[in-house]
Amino acid sequence: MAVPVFLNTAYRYLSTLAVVDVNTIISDLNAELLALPDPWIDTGGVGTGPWQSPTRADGAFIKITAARISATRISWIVNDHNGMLVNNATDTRQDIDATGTEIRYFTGPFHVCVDSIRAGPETWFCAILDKTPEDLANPRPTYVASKAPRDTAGTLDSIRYWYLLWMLLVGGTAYTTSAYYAALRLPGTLVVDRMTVSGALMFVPYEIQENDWFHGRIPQVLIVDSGQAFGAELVVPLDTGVSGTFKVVGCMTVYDGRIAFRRA
Amino acid sequence: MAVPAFLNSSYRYFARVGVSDVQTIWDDFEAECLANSPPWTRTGGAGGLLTSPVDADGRFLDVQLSWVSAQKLQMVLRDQNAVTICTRRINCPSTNTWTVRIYTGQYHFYIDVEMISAVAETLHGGILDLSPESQIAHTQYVYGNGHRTSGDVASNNNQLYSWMVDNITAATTTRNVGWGGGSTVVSGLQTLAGYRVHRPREHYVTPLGGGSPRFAGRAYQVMTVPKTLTFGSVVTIPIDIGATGQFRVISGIADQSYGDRRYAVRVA
Repeated sequence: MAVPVFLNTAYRYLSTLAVVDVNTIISDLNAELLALPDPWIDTGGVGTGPWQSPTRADGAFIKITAARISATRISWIVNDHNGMLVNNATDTRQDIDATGTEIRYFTGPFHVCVDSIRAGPETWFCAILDKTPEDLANPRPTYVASKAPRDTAGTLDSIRYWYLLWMLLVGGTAYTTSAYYAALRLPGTLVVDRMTVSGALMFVPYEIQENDWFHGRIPQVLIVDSGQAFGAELVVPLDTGVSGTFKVVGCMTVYDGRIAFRRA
Repeated sequence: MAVPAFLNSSYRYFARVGVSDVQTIWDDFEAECLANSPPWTRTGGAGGLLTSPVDADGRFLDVQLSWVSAQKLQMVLRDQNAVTICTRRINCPSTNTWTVRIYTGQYHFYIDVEMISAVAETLHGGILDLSPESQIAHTQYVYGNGHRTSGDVASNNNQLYSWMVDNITAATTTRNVGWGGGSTVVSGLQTLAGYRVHRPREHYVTPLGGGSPRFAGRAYQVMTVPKTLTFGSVVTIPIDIGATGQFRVISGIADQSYGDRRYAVRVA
């Protein structure tokens, strides 16, 4: 056996408590991305981004631009390696509380998740998909970014589901968003416990599809049962004698699932 | 790597064309079961109850076929506790002969009849692989279905449905896993580069004591394949490094919009 490729990338995790200004998010994220084994590039050179991910063998890389809208609101812009806007609605916004919010950062060469642990969590993430076992360059990389948590106007999405994503569809000329980009691995009843009959938790790769097309897997993410609390840490066997720890992030429950990013 | 457990059981394949009486299907099915390694056992002489090999964990199923008429074959499938999982029939046309494909193994059987002048019909059943859990992690591991009720009514026979013991009662529901998104037709069974994606046939069941359905296991020697594959066609699937298996698409399990997929059973 071997650790699956989508779980065999580098990762880092940081939690910062009582963040009261999103400038802290920008500085924390900068430090985390630059501390990765194959570090991102702070293209602005002053610790505030935009950040460019390592370039994959097929030429794919993510570029993330963050901006402080106010002390409690940050905006995110994600571009692919062609400069196309992934979150194709000007930007995606995310709030913290003026009284202070814990922020959790999950980073890797091809994924970033920033989890704002408000009473109603606000989670933002983006990634380049792993296409193993296929050739990365055949025919093109696939990027995703969460639609949640807030639009450009700052309006909180009432359905901040983990499966609502921005993605460039086959034949598409601009990134678009919809549900149904996740391979749910569910029966027709759609209402299940994501566990075995005997009660063992099931962990399912977060695989992305579009109609009958399979695009790939989000690195270092697993779909878990919705009974797992936000912030719960789950030890998952990855290979013979190898396990990883995944932490449930605040995306809203849908189809009895939540998602968890790698933290250890 | 290693061949997954659900693809590492015994299998046989037999086909006969020009069949005009279901007695021939019954005879062929019995011969195939008894020729398996390990063999099934037969109780009561020719035409008797066929019991799958009892595995190291004590798991087995049994099946009793019966001749209703030259066109109608009935199956009674039971689990290890002699609980009837389902009683189902096929009804073949009298206007022409049929092609019959019989897939058997220590943990599965599929009788697939291409009617030619009518849609294909199937009787099938099996035991689920519970890997990576112990094979005795739970007892709800027998599944099955057929095209028609014991009253010859075609019902609940598409790729969504199986009969299993839900909680304490055998029932049929849309328990078979689709890989698409929500209640949509999508399958995600083709990569952007055009290669097929092959998935196990997985089942959910309501556990003893009730509650929401939970994952019960994978059907042995069955793969979920894209609907673009024609009924009856054979697809070669990599099952380990340097190892492939050949699987033939079952004709008699009808397409259904959710999941856009078909099932294929091992032939080689």
